[in-house]
Amino acid sequence: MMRRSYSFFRKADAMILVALAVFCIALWWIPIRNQGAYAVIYVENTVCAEISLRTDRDDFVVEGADGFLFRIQDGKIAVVSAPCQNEICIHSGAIGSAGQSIVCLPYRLRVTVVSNDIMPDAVI
Amino acid sequence: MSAKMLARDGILLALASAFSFLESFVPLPAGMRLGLSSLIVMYAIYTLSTAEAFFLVLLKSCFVLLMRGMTAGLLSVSGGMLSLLGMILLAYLNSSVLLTSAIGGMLHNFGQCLAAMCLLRSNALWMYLPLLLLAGMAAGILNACIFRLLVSYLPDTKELLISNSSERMS
Repeated sequence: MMRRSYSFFRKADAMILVALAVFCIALWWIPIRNQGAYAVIYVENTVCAEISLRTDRDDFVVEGADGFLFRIQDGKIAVVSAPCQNEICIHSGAIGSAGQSIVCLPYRLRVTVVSNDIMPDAVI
Repeated sequence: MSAKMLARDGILLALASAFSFLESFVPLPAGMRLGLSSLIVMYAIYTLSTAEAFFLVLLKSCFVLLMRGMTAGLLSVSGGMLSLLGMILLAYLNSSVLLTSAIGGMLHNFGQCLAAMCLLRSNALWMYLPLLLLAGMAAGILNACIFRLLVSYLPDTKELLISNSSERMS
């Protein structure tokens, strides 16, 4: 079998990777971080609840999103308890900027923060 | 399929599964993983054949499907296949191992993100894509460094990497 040899690293690689990293960081920071007003909770892409982030609420449940516990504090919403063992949604922490989302794939749950005047699916 | 290939792929698959089990003990935020099983994929791309690399990635995804369910299986196959295609192309273009691995990591997360958006029927995950790409790049660079250490110990990969002292102009 013909075997080729490869170099481990070339100087041009560093430039490509730095350019890609800068591009990613720019994409990450460009969305304007405005404070969201509502959290919309979707299950299977249908709206279960729209909750204001202006009032703090301790651990509460939402009809349709069984097994999940949510908490609103200081204008941010977090998932505090989830029925699946991955608990990625819990580790996502609290979100409060418009456009941010918490996602649970196994249960098709999505919490998206929206501001007053923007429809949720128009926020990218 | 020869008996030798069957035995070799069985061992590599077991090793890839062991790696992904081991890395579940590494605590990283937001469900991120090191992706150590890409070491196996890189080994397959560089020292075995393209077909065998495809075979291994597909088998690994089937294993994930059996062990962790439909969602995890779909994410695994979409990320794995996109990353594999990209890495084969880069290796074919004689790109360096580090660049191949870093782009492979980014493509893996890109594929997973696309699959997750299809599953959710929502574009809400675009927000996380830049962060996922950065994490994929970091994991890819780490894996390339581990791969470099590994190949110096394996018997049939001695000539795989061009040593720095004899680096050819290209």
